[in-house]
Amino acid sequence: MRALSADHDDVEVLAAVADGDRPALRVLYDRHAPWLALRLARRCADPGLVEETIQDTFVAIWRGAGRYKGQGDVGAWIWGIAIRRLIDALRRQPRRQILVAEVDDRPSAEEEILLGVEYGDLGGALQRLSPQLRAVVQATVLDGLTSREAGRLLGIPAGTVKTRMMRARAQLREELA
Amino acid sequence: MSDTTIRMAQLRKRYGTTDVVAGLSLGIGPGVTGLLGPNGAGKTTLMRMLATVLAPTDGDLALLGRDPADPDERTDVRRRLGYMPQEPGFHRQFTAFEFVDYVAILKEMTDTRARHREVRRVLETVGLGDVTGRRIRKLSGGMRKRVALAQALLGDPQLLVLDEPTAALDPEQRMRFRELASELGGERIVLVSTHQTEDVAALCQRVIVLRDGRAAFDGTPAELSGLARGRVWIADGRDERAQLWWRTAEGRHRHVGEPPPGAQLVEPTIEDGYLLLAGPAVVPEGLAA
Amino acid sequence: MSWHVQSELLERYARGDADGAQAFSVEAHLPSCPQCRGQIAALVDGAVLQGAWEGIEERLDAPRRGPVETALMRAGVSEHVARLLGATPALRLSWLLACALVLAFAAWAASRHDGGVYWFLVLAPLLPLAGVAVAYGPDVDPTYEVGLAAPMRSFGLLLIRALAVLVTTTAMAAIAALALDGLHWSAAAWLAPSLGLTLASLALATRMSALAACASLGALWMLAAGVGWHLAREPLVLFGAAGQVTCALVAAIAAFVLARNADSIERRGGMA
Repeated sequence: MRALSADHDDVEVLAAVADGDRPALRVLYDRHAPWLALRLARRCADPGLVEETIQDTFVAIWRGAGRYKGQGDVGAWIWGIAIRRLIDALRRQPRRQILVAEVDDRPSAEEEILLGVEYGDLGGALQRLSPQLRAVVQATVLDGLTSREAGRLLGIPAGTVKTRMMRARAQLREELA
Repeated sequence: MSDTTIRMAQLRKRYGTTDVVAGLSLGIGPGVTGLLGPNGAGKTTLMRMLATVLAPTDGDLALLGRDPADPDERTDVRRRLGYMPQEPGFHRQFTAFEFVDYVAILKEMTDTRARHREVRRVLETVGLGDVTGRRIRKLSGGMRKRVALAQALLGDPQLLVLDEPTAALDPEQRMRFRELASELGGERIVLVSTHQTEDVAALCQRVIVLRDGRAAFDGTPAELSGLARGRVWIADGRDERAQLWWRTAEGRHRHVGEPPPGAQLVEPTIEDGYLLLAGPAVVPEGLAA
Repeated sequence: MSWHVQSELLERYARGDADGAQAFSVEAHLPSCPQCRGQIAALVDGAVLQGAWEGIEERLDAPRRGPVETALMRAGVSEHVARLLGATPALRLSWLLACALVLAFAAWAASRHDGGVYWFLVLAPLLPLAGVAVAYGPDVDPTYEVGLAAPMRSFGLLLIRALAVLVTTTAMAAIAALALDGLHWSAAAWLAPSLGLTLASLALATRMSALAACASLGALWMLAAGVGWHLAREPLVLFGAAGQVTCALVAAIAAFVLARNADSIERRGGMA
């Protein structure tokens, strides 16, 4: 077993994990667990569930490292595992205060101008979507979930996900036209 | 009772008509004590008696102040005992963790979380923290020995009986073991039986040489090498009158025995002292430095 | 990668202060950027991450539970006892399946021939005997030496394993016996011999290895069965009233011997 250093890229580290190298899993954990924790926390308000999901994710990586066949970034692959583990965990829990509270953080008029300068039209347009619509965009576009999975994550029926996506797309198209 | 000694008086173990251990009277205290001796000298039999695994035929034995003949006191000793047998056996389908966990259950550690923590601790101590999940049949011989050592360390025992822990280890692994064993010394009684005189030299505060079931020597390593003072010499050719001789790496001959007048005497090592005592029954391990 | 997230935004994101679109950018970027990932790692609570890692290690290391162990634990047996029993060769699934097959065959053969019942009754008590033979001892348990030096009473371990083996094989034989058509009482006539032989083997195991005890008793039983078959016109007399009483007596005496000699097994040590 070669000792892993910071120079080895994620693909090499993952290959070592597939070989049963426990320290390699630790390296992968140190690299990816922090951003995973933050990203998961923005989709689930329960820190215990987030921690459980992180554990589930890395146990799954340990067991299934061989399944990574170079399809995109290792980080993205890990996220795919993590978000689905989160959905599983949410299904096991009764639905209470699981979801991140929906705060209406749509920008004020001044901020709108600033946003337009910093991020261009798309950022502003996204920001002007209602939190509900933005959540489905995040789930389907950013997180790469199917309508059904997005529905499970957000606690709404898959049909609702689809209609909200249509509205979001319509609104964005209108704004950016 | 906080007695940290082993005491034996006229300890005897007889098989058929042979006294494998023939009337040993010794006291052993804290620190690392080495047990040297050729095969058949009674080392393993003695170790097994001290590990409460074998009953003596005759004599008195007190382990940590307790009498192993009494069932309750014997269990008491076992709670403070760690034993690494000469031929450790494993359930081969177990992982290293599972195996040590199994022994931990035999050592009456019933609380799962605490037990798992202890298992991880001993595996880290012997340097196997990264391979806890590997099956034993996939571990190298040296690693298996370390697993066997790890289980002996469970529960932080007061008395450690290690039977040939360095046999079949390569020099680097032996070094690592010596470091570990000397750390463990301290307030504990650590009993190490070995063929390797270098282990004794590096590690033991005290050494006992067994021969034909009796203690041929009991003292410090320095005293053991001192036995051979003035009895070791080097010559270009072979001297048949020596008790023992062998070729050195430089092509000369090292002799142990009664030196002829004018012989070139050299500083004796522990091995020289041991060879003098154990006699021709012992084959020197490798060449002298 | 030429574009990286500004430190200020990373900090706001880590605090949870980044708004929707900004968070989108950060999240779309992080998974593939080692540099920004490294930066954000410094902003997350290390203690929580370390705790989660220890949980991961615990799960990866945790001893795998076989089906027998899981079943035992569901039946209310505590985890450490279940682990000890799970390591018994005679309680492994392969062994249990073999026993089941043997019993099924014997029951089928019994329903075919008139005298078949006799051999079923002879066979059933041999199964727990075979189980006890491999339950404990220097020949079958690799951790025998280490186990002797451990505080747990070795004979106690042999006893609980023998008990588990007896219970499982008795249950299986009972089910097989139900498949036997014919005499009602004979369906249970193997119970007393089963108990008697098992207890006798344990009693003998205080003096010799479990393997030797079971082998000799097994041979004795087969001999008695063979003699009974050839001598008596009515072979089932071996299992008749006299036979049952004898077996019960043997069981009682064996239990008595056991109680008296339980700890001698520990002092005998190995064979060498």
